Amino acid sequence: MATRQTPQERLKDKLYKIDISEDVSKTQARHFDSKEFLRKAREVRKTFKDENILSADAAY
Amino acid sequence: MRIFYPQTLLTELAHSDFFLDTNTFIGAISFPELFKELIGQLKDNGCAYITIPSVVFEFTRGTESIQDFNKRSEFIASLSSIYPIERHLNDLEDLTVVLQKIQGHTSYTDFLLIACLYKFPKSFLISANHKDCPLDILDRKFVITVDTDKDIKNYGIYQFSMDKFNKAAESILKG
Repeated sequence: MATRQTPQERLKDKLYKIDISEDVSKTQARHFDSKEFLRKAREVRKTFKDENILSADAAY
Repeated sequence: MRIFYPQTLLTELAHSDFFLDTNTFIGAISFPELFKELIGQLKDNGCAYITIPSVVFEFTRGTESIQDFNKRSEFIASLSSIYPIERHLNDLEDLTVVLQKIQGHTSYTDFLLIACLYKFPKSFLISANHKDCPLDILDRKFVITVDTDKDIKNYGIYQFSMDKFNKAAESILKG
Protein backbone atom coordinates (compact mmCIF):
# COMPACT_ATOMS: atom_id res chain seq x y z
CA MET A 1 0.00 0.00 0.00
CA ALA A 2 1.36 3.40 -0.98
CA THR A 3 2.24 5.71 1.89
CA ARG A 4 0.14 8.88 1.94
CA GLN A 5 2.18 12.02 1.49
CA THR A 6 2.02 14.70 4.17
CA PRO A 7 0.85 18.22 3.12
CA GLN A 8 4.46 19.34 3.45
CA GLU A 9 5.61 16.67 1.00
CA ARG A 10 2.76 17.44 -1.44
CA LEU A 11 3.59 21.15 -1.34
CA LYS A 12 7.29 20.47 -1.89
CA ASP A 13 6.39 18.37 -4.95
CA LYS A 14 4.45 21.24 -6.51
CA LEU A 15 7.04 23.97 -5.96
CA TYR A 16 9.77 24.80 -8.44
CA LYS A 17 13.11 23.61 -7.10
CA ILE A 18 15.90 26.08 -7.66
CA ASP A 19 19.18 24.44 -8.61
CA ILE A 20 21.94 25.96 -6.50
CA SER A 21 25.40 25.26 -7.85
CA GLU A 22 29.03 26.19 -7.33
CA ASP A 23 29.41 26.29 -11.12
CA VAL A 24 28.94 29.99 -11.83
CA SER A 25 29.24 29.63 -15.60
CA LYS A 26 26.26 27.31 -16.04
CA THR A 27 24.21 29.91 -17.92
CA GLN A 28 27.03 30.54 -20.37
CA ALA A 29 26.13 27.43 -22.33
CA ARG A 30 22.41 28.17 -22.22
CA HIS A 31 20.89 29.68 -25.34
CA PHE A 32 19.08 33.01 -24.87
CA ASP A 33 15.74 33.04 -26.65
CA SER A 34 14.49 36.64 -26.70
CA LYS A 35 10.89 35.66 -27.58
CA GLU A 36 10.79 33.21 -24.69
CA PHE A 37 12.33 35.85 -22.43
CA LEU A 38 9.63 38.37 -23.38
CA ARG A 39 6.87 35.83 -22.81
CA LYS A 40 8.18 34.77 -19.40
CA ALA A 41 8.86 38.35 -18.29
CA ARG A 42 5.27 39.38 -19.11
CA GLU A 43 3.91 36.34 -17.27
CA VAL A 44 6.02 37.12 -14.19
CA ARG A 45 5.01 40.77 -14.32
CA LYS A 46 1.39 39.71 -13.87
CA THR A 47 2.30 38.06 -10.55
CA PHE A 48 3.13 41.48 -9.12
CA LYS A 49 -0.10 43.07 -7.94
CA ASP A 50 1.40 46.53 -7.91
CA GLU A 51 1.25 47.82 -11.50
CA ASN A 52 4.15 50.14 -10.84
CA ILE A 53 6.70 47.43 -10.15
CA LEU A 54 9.70 49.68 -10.54
CA SER A 55 8.67 51.79 -7.59
CA ALA A 56 8.07 48.63 -5.54
CA ASP A 57 11.71 47.61 -5.88
CA ALA A 58 12.62 50.44 -3.53
CA ALA A 59 11.46 48.08 -0.80
CA TYR A 60 14.14 45.48 -1.58
CA MET B 1 11.14 54.10 -23.96
CA ARG B 2 14.84 53.72 -24.56
CA ILE B 3 17.92 52.11 -23.09
CA PHE B 4 21.37 53.69 -23.27
CA TYR B 5 24.74 52.07 -22.75
CA PRO B 6 28.15 52.51 -24.31
CA GLN B 7 28.70 50.09 -27.18
CA THR B 8 32.21 49.43 -25.82
CA LEU B 9 30.48 47.69 -22.90
CA LEU B 10 29.64 44.72 -25.13
CA THR B 11 33.24 44.14 -26.22
CA GLU B 12 35.03 45.16 -23.02
CA LEU B 13 32.87 42.88 -20.89
CA ALA B 14 32.75 39.94 -23.31
CA HIS B 15 33.10 36.51 -21.63
CA SER B 16 32.35 37.97 -18.21
CA ASP B 17 30.21 36.69 -15.35
CA PHE B 18 27.49 39.06 -14.14
CA PHE B 19 25.83 38.83 -10.74
CA LEU B 20 22.28 40.23 -10.85
CA ASP B 21 20.61 42.14 -8.01
CA THR B 22 16.89 41.90 -7.25
CA ASN B 23 16.24 45.31 -8.78
CA THR B 24 17.82 44.14 -12.05
CA PHE B 25 15.32 41.27 -12.28
CA ILE B 26 12.54 43.75 -11.46
CA GLY B 27 13.79 46.00 -14.28
CA ALA B 28 13.94 43.05 -16.67
CA ILE B 29 10.30 42.12 -16.08
CA SER B 30 9.14 45.73 -16.02
CA PHE B 31 10.76 46.60 -19.35
CA PRO B 32 11.66 43.32 -21.07
CA GLU B 33 11.59 44.98 -24.51
CA LEU B 34 14.43 47.26 -23.39
CA PHE B 35 16.48 44.63 -21.58
CA LYS B 36 16.22 41.73 -24.04
CA GLU B 37 18.69 43.23 -26.52
CA LEU B 38 21.39 43.94 -23.94
CA ILE B 39 20.92 40.59 -22.19
CA GLY B 40 20.99 38.75 -25.53
CA GLN B 41 24.02 40.61 -26.86
CA LEU B 42 26.04 39.95 -23.72
CA LYS B 43 25.03 36.27 -23.92
CA ASP B 44 26.14 36.18 -27.55
CA ASN B 45 29.48 37.57 -26.37
CA GLY B 46 29.97 34.61 -24.04
CA CYS B 47 28.71 36.18 -20.80
CA ALA B 48 27.00 34.30 -17.97
CA TYR B 49 24.39 35.52 -15.48
CA ILE B 50 24.41 34.50 -11.85
CA THR B 51 22.49 35.39 -8.75
CA ILE B 52 22.26 34.19 -5.15
CA PRO B 53 19.57 32.49 -3.03
CA SER B 54 18.93 35.71 -1.11
CA VAL B 55 17.94 37.49 -4.34
CA VAL B 56 15.69 34.57 -5.25
CA PHE B 57 13.99 35.00 -1.87
CA GLU B 58 13.50 38.74 -2.40
CA PHE B 59 12.15 38.22 -5.93
CA THR B 60 9.70 35.49 -4.92
CA ARG B 61 8.64 37.24 -1.72
CA GLY B 62 4.98 38.22 -1.71
CA THR B 63 3.74 35.41 -3.93
CA GLU B 64 0.59 33.87 -2.49
CA SER B 65 0.10 30.89 -4.79
CA ILE B 66 2.13 27.93 -5.98
CA GLN B 67 1.72 29.10 -9.59
CA ASP B 68 3.04 32.61 -8.94
CA PHE B 69 5.95 31.33 -6.85
CA ASN B 70 6.85 28.88 -9.62
CA LYS B 71 6.61 31.50 -12.37
CA ARG B 72 9.01 33.83 -10.57
CA SER B 73 11.41 31.04 -9.58
CA GLU B 74 11.46 29.62 -13.10
CA PHE B 75 12.09 33.08 -14.56
CA ILE B 76 15.17 33.55 -12.41
CA ALA B 77 16.39 30.03 -13.15
CA SER B 78 15.87 30.52 -16.90
CA LEU B 79 18.06 33.61 -16.86
CA SER B 80 20.76 32.85 -14.31
CA SER B 81 22.67 30.29 -12.28
CA ILE B 82 22.24 30.42 -8.52
CA TYR B 83 25.52 30.53 -6.62
CA PRO B 84 25.56 29.52 -2.91
CA ILE B 85 27.73 32.33 -1.54
CA GLU B 86 26.36 31.66 1.95
CA ARG B 87 28.40 28.44 2.03
CA HIS B 88 31.55 30.57 1.97
CA LEU B 89 30.78 32.88 4.88
CA ASN B 90 33.66 31.35 6.86
CA ASP B 91 36.08 33.02 4.47
CA LEU B 92 34.59 36.52 4.47
CA GLU B 93 35.55 37.93 7.88
CA ASP B 94 37.87 40.58 6.41
CA LEU B 95 35.17 41.77 3.99
CA THR B 96 32.66 41.87 6.85
CA VAL B 97 34.89 44.12 8.95
CA VAL B 98 35.76 46.43 6.06
CA LEU B 99 32.12 46.78 4.99
CA GLN B 100 31.03 47.46 8.57
CA LYS B 101 33.61 50.23 8.71
CA ILE B 102 32.71 51.93 5.43
CA GLN B 103 28.99 51.16 5.30
CA GLY B 104 27.49 49.81 8.52
CA HIS B 105 23.90 49.73 7.23
CA THR B 106 24.50 47.29 4.34
CA SER B 107 21.67 44.77 3.98
CA TYR B 108 22.45 41.06 4.10
CA THR B 109 21.64 40.57 0.41
CA ASP B 110 23.86 43.50 -0.62
CA PHE B 111 26.65 42.17 1.59
CA LEU B 112 26.38 38.76 -0.08
CA LEU B 113 26.40 40.26 -3.59
CA ILE B 114 29.51 42.29 -2.75
CA ALA B 115 30.97 39.09 -1.27
CA CYS B 116 30.49 37.46 -4.70
CA LEU B 117 32.53 40.25 -6.31
CA TYR B 118 35.18 39.82 -3.60
CA LYS B 119 35.35 36.07 -4.24
CA PHE B 120 35.29 36.44 -8.04
CA PRO B 121 37.18 39.70 -8.66
CA LYS B 122 36.86 39.42 -12.44
CA SER B 123 33.07 39.26 -12.25
CA PHE B 124 30.59 42.16 -12.25
CA LEU B 125 27.44 43.14 -10.41
CA ILE B 126 24.51 44.85 -12.13
CA SER B 127 22.46 46.87 -9.65
CA ALA B 128 20.29 49.98 -9.48
CA ASN B 129 20.92 50.24 -5.76
CA HIS B 130 23.91 52.57 -5.92
CA LYS B 131 23.95 53.71 -2.32
CA ASP B 132 24.64 50.13 -1.24
CA CYS B 133 27.45 49.60 -3.74
CA PRO B 134 30.29 51.47 -1.99
CA LEU B 135 32.87 52.95 -4.31
CA ASP B 136 35.32 52.72 -1.37
CA ILE B 137 35.93 49.11 -2.43
CA LEU B 138 34.13 48.82 -5.80
CA ASP B 139 34.68 50.41 -9.20
CA ARG B 140 31.66 51.45 -11.25
CA LYS B 141 32.75 50.39 -14.71
CA PHE B 142 29.67 51.31 -16.75
CA VAL B 143 26.23 52.85 -16.33
CA ILE B 144 23.14 51.64 -18.19
CA THR B 145 20.32 54.19 -18.37
CA VAL B 146 16.71 53.17 -18.88
CA ASP B 147 14.33 55.94 -19.93
CA THR B 148 10.84 54.58 -19.21
CA ASP B 149 9.10 57.81 -20.33
CA LYS B 150 7.80 58.18 -16.75
CA ASP B 151 11.15 57.82 -15.02
CA ILE B 152 14.87 57.44 -15.64
CA LYS B 153 16.55 54.49 -13.98
CA ASN B 154 20.31 53.92 -13.85
CA TYR B 155 21.95 50.53 -13.46
CA GLY B 156 25.60 50.43 -12.45
CA ILE B 157 28.01 47.70 -13.46
CA TYR B 158 30.34 47.21 -10.52
CA GLN B 159 33.59 45.33 -10.02
CA PHE B 160 35.64 44.66 -6.91
CA SER B 161 38.81 46.72 -6.47
CA MET B 162 41.51 44.97 -4.47
CA ASP B 163 43.54 48.21 -4.38
CA LYS B 164 40.68 50.08 -2.75
CA PHE B 165 39.99 47.16 -0.41
CA ASN B 166 43.62 47.08 0.72
CA LYS B 167 43.50 50.81 1.47
CA ALA B 168 40.33 50.33 3.53
CA ALA B 169 41.92 47.37 5.35
CA GLU B 170 45.04 49.43 6.00
CA SER B 171 43.01 52.19 7.63
CA ILE B 172 41.32 49.63 9.93
CA LEU B 173 44.68 48.12 10.86
CA LYS B 174 45.95 51.58 11.83
CA GLY B 175 42.95 51.79 14.15
